Amino acid sequence: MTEHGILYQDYAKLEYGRMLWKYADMRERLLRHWTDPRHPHAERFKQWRPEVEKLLASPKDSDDELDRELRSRGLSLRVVVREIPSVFGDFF
Amino acid sequence: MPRRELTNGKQVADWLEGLGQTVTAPGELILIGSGGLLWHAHERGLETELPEASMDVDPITDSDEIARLCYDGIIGSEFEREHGWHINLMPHSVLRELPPAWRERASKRHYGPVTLIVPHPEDLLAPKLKRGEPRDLKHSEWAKRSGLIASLKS
Repeated sequence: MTEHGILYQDYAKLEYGRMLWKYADMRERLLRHWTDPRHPHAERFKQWRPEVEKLLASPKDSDDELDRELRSRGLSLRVVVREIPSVFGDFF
Repeated sequence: MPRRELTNGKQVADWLEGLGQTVTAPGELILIGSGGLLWHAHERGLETELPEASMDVDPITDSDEIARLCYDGIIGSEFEREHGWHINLMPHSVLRELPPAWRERASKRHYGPVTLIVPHPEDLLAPKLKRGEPRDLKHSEWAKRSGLIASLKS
């Protein structure tokens, strides 16, 4: 686990999501994938989309700050990172 | 007919060769897990197959371009259908599971603009032994049986 108690597999979604989010084509591709009705978490993503997008647009060295801000709202970095949907299947 | 699982180092080496021919800008790729062990075996001409084959490779990269290409090899992708295994990007923080100073013992190779870094087999095995799952222990036994560690020490 990472220092914020996040599973490595989950943190990979944040680390590489951040890396690719800055590219408009990848951002569109990820959003298309996560909102695709074939994605099992598409409905859940709708609820969490603003938080997830904010996370993916954040600088890579902002974890502590984000965690503090999220905790002030009853959330945490760990909770929101888990809501970044996985990428899988032939419809990505 | 492609292999349906990852069992030998040539599969890893072929993937890296292809990656090196596709990537255009310099970037680093660290290979951990079973894929790293298989790469070491291939480098030393060992044709032994990994028991309880792996279904993926676990790379870590600082390159946007390499990361993009890895996303094209995710589970369920065309890449997986073609190769029989997929690519599972891991975060840099997972490297803390390796013994200290692992970089000093690691092997480094260049595949085109891709700089490949593979921790020493003993370092790759350390988290597996810590986990101690039956499959991990079999991989450790395989590495010993095949002389992988001894051949690297010589």
